[in-house]
Amino acid sequence: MSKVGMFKNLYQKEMRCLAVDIGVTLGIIILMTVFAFSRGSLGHGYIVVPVFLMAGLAGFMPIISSFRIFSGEWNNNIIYLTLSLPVKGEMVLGSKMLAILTQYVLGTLLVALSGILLGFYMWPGFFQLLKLNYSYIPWGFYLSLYMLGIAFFTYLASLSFFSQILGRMVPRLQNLATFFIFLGLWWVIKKVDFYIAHILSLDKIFLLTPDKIWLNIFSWSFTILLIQGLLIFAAAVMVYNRKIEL
Amino acid sequence: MIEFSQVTKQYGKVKALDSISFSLSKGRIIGLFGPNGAGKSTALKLIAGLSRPDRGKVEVDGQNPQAAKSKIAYLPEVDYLYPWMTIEGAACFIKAFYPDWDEHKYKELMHFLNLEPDMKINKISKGQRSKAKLLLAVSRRASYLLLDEPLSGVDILSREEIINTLIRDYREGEQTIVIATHEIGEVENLVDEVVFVKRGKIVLKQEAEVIRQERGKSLVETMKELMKGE
Repeated sequence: MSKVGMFKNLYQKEMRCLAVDIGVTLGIIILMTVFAFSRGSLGHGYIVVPVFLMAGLAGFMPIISSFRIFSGEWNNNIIYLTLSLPVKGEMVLGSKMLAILTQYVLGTLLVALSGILLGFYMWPGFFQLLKLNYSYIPWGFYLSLYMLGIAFFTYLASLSFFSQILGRMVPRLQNLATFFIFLGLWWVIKKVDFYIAHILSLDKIFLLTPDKIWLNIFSWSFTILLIQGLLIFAAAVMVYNRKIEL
Repeated sequence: MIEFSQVTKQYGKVKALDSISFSLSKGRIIGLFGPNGAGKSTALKLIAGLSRPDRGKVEVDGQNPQAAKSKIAYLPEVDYLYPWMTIEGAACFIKAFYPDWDEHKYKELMHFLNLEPDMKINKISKGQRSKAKLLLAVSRRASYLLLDEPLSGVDILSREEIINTLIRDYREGEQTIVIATHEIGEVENLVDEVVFVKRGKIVLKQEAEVIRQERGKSLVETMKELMKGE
């Protein structure tokens, strides 16, 4: 079988492992949407608050899953199966990353759909208003915000994988070690970020084009987060291939 | 051929393997015998590429075990399949990675071992799980089959089925089977060659028949003699 076929097989297996997490996330979002529908007549707070809560859940649950998907493999001895397969860390971790990204996208898209449905329900003129102001709506801004969310999530998931891999190399108290490694890496990377931003004088660059300040902040943040995420992921793969053993 | 050259593997302060060197020739059934904690499972994990030696070198057909994984079918002692998987689901997952998967053999063995494709891993007995693991390992035409305590915790009837499966499907001269176990009596008549391991060191490596003739003892008795004081 081709490498693509193997990757697909691993991805499908990871998706099956995440079925409960995805089901719970989507289930809670649907329940909250139904709740907001039932209370919609009481005011905007009954829509805005649940939508924000749902968005938080859709973004937070995949991070929890990124820990569960990795530790579950070790706790149930599945690691014997994974490590005996003729595949490298890039495939194993790549399939996990894609699975939790899928979870993230499914959750956030359902939240967006839920928000739109609630908007239509609460505001009878919503569709008309949307049609009239279509060209004024900053779609690029929303898309950038969403892409920034994906980049941030990739970064967090890579950090989660990397800290768990490093944590597994500690002989005792591996979960505690993982927690402190995660926090430690986060702190170090943020320090490096500030240093890079200072060296590149990003604040001055942003002020040069005040009309495009948000776009610039988004593009820079997106690029930096994505590069950092990919670098951390590459480091995780490298350590996985060279150091992880039973 | 499997070759260990001056291999040491340590877990914390415990030396699981202590500078051992030996080679296992191709196309034979080899027994890796010793008491619990002797280093048998560690040796198998090194061959399967699941562990790396701290010192020394392990080679499978002249390759690093990490690169030779597609030639090796490894059956660990622990339950390593997802509890939610059915036997068929596990087979579908595993066969995608190995071109040597033999579907005809898989179906035939499934019937022989009295297993059903839709049996769920978390719903079957320990004996059935052991048979399912064996089914998945043996359904490949792998050059090397590594079995770690394949009879551990399995009832007497399932033990017989497992041993019969190994005898039935063994491709003499083509396939190398390494059985790591401390339950020697059950596999005594199966092995061509024996490696006795004690506290991470090889204490005896010889043809099974030569041991029986020269010492006038069975392999079980030989092990008892070699492991005195354990």
